[in-house]
Amino acid sequence: MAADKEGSNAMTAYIVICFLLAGAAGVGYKLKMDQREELAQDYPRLYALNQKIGQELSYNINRYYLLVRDDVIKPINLETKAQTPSQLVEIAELQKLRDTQGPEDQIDIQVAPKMTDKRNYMEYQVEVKLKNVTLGQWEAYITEVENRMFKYAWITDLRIDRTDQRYDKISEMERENSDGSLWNVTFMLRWFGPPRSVARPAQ
Amino acid sequence: MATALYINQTQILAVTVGGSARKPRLKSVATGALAEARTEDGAVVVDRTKHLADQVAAFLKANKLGSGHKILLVGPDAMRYRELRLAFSDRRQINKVIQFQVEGAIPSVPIEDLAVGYSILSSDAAGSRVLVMAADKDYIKKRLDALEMAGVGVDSVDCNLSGTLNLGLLHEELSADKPATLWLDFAGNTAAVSLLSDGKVLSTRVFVSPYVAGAGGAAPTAEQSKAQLKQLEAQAIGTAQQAPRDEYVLLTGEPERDDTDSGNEPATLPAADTANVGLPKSESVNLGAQQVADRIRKMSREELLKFVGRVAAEARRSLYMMRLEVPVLRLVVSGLGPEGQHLAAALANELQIENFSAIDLMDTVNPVGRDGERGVKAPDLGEITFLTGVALKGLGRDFTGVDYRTGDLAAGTLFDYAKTPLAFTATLVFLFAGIMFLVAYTQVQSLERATADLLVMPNDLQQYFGQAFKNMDKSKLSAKDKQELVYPVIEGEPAAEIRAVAKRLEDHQKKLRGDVVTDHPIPHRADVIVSDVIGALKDGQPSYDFALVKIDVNQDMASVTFFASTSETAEEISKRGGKREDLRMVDALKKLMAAKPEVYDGEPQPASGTAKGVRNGERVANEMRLNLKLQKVKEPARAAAARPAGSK
Repeated sequence: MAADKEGSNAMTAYIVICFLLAGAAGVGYKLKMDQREELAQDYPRLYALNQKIGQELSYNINRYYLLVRDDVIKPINLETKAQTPSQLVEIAELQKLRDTQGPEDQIDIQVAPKMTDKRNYMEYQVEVKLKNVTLGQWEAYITEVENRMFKYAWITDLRIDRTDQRYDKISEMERENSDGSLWNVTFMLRWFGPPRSVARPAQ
Repeated sequence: MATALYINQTQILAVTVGGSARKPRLKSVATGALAEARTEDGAVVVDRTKHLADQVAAFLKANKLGSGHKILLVGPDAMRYRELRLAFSDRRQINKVIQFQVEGAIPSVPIEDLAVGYSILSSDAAGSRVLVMAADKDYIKKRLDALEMAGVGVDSVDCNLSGTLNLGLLHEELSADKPATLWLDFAGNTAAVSLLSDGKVLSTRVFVSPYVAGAGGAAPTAEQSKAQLKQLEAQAIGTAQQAPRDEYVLLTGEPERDDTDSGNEPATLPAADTANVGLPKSESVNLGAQQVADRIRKMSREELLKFVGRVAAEARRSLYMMRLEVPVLRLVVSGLGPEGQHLAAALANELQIENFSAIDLMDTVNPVGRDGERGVKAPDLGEITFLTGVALKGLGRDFTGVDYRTGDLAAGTLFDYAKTPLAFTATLVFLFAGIMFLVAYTQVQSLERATADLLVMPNDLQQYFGQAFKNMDKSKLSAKDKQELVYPVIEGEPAAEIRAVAKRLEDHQKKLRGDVVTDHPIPHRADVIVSDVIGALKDGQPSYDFALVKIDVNQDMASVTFFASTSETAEEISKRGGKREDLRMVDALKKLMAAKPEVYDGEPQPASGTAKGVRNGERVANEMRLNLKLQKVKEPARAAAARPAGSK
């Protein structure tokens, strides 16, 4: 009697335990399959990353430092940035822009950069003024500045003004898209450096 | 209403009672013959349970016994009675040990083959006396299977002695207000001797009714009577071997050690075991009170004296075993029909009891009317008192509380029936889910190993990481920068480690290219904006009258001033897309702003201070000034976060 009841209870317990274990195994299976799916999807990406690290990133970085070591390329550093005003003068000279006094003067370059402490970084600005230059001249100057300094500096606050702004003074274009008028151009060359606490005296 | 059913080898009996537990009434007595388990062509029926079930179903239908409680009677031929003395009387404790006690008391039958019930006869501080009623489990199961197959729900299963006590104690001659009484009941081929006091059964024993001897001549002693019974048994076995073996044939009792004479301790002395007696099958049923009376009438005086002597001996044995302190003052004899009064007198004389009476137990439920007839005319059946007694269980009267419909004989619920297939299914499901889990687990392990291998294959990442910075001049590096050159090890997470290595190298490469800016805002490149604006104005197809006057770009806005011709001819307008020059320029600038949403915000907005219809000779133009709003330059998040709260 009691033994039969115990046997029946044991059977019930067995069934419950079996189903519980089956449920747990089912959940485990689902979780493992999700994990498997994730790993299976990840594997090709990780394999590609391995290839990229070995064949591309490591090679590129190593080659860069080899070129730097051999002075083939110069890395942008604080010294490079400090030479920005002289670079601007050098470009003006190359472009044959006259830096004189009086009406012949075509370019004014602020030699000492204006520094602004932004707490988390330092901001440097150099103002460049081009006077009575043709469209071709200011285009060429700005393009060269961009080419040399785009890695660390930005041309901002650019203003181009035609010297004659009255319509009756503006002659008709000789042909379409042609323009022989003179311009006054002003822009700011801006770059950034580490905050004053870590900035070097060279800047 | 309740119906007791009894199925033996040759027939099925049903007794139905109605009324209440206190005033029960016999409703009907039905008998039906069981056909031999053979097909029409004489072959043995294979599915005997179904064969029996069909006959039971037909019997119940014919006698309209479908409703009410159903109780199955276990006949004396499948019963073993033992009286045990236990050191405790608590039912929970008795339940715990009863199986082991019975195993010791009936050693010849495996305990798992017995359905055990018991009734506590008396209990005191020293323990209790328990009457064990052990039934043959297989006997019950075969009948239950057939009944269930026939669509009969059996509520409980009880034995003959239970039925006798249940019915007998309803009789007024055995009521509680009577003095201590010795009650002898004869039914079928067995007799029961019980000692009653205050309505309680102090002791009860079952023994072979000695009048069987009358069939084959006088048997002077019990041994001779048993020998004669064994002879009859041998004859019955011979007959049974000739007939096809019927699986629901009444048990004739296997050759078993006679426990009665086993010499056990007096406390565990068993009562006579009817199953050992081996009654002739044909006589194990249907020996009603009238037949008994008839046999007694045919006995010689010598036989009668021996009968009385045997019964008296059994009665004395019961009295001796009880060591009753109260003197037995009355003798009640039941089940001997019309001869009861004479035999009661003879037995009383033998037992030296002055007060005696003979009763018919059926008087309680089927009394004799004024016309001398009983309300229900019942056939002369030996088992009618057993059946009526167990039928009373269905009305709520249950003296012994014995019910074999427990354990593996219990009526199964749907869940009980489903347990085995459920257990099988659960095992399969568990195995399946377990195997699937293991497969998935193995695959994950394999993929994790393959992923971990990617740290060294096909390229050894640590080696390549070091090689990237091999030619770097590390002398001027800050501590923070040096930290970035350390290979990032992430223990146990190879995927994260690979990604960290790749990210560190990619970030370094971007830094070398000047792509990475994290510590200051990225201003709008004014030269690029001027170039874009001039390009857009060219896309607007300027006429020979068009003149750009000014472009002013700061970090918030680009302002464009130009003269747009209004003196174009219709043909010139048509050639340039069908729109006037000012509209063409506005459209071109709109297009530019829409194309670069990361730089420009919204559409060109006209500014004030412009002039209309300005002239230069025959040329007429509108002066236009348009403001192109730029996206706001954002401070880097890290810098913003580093700024103290409240500062601007």
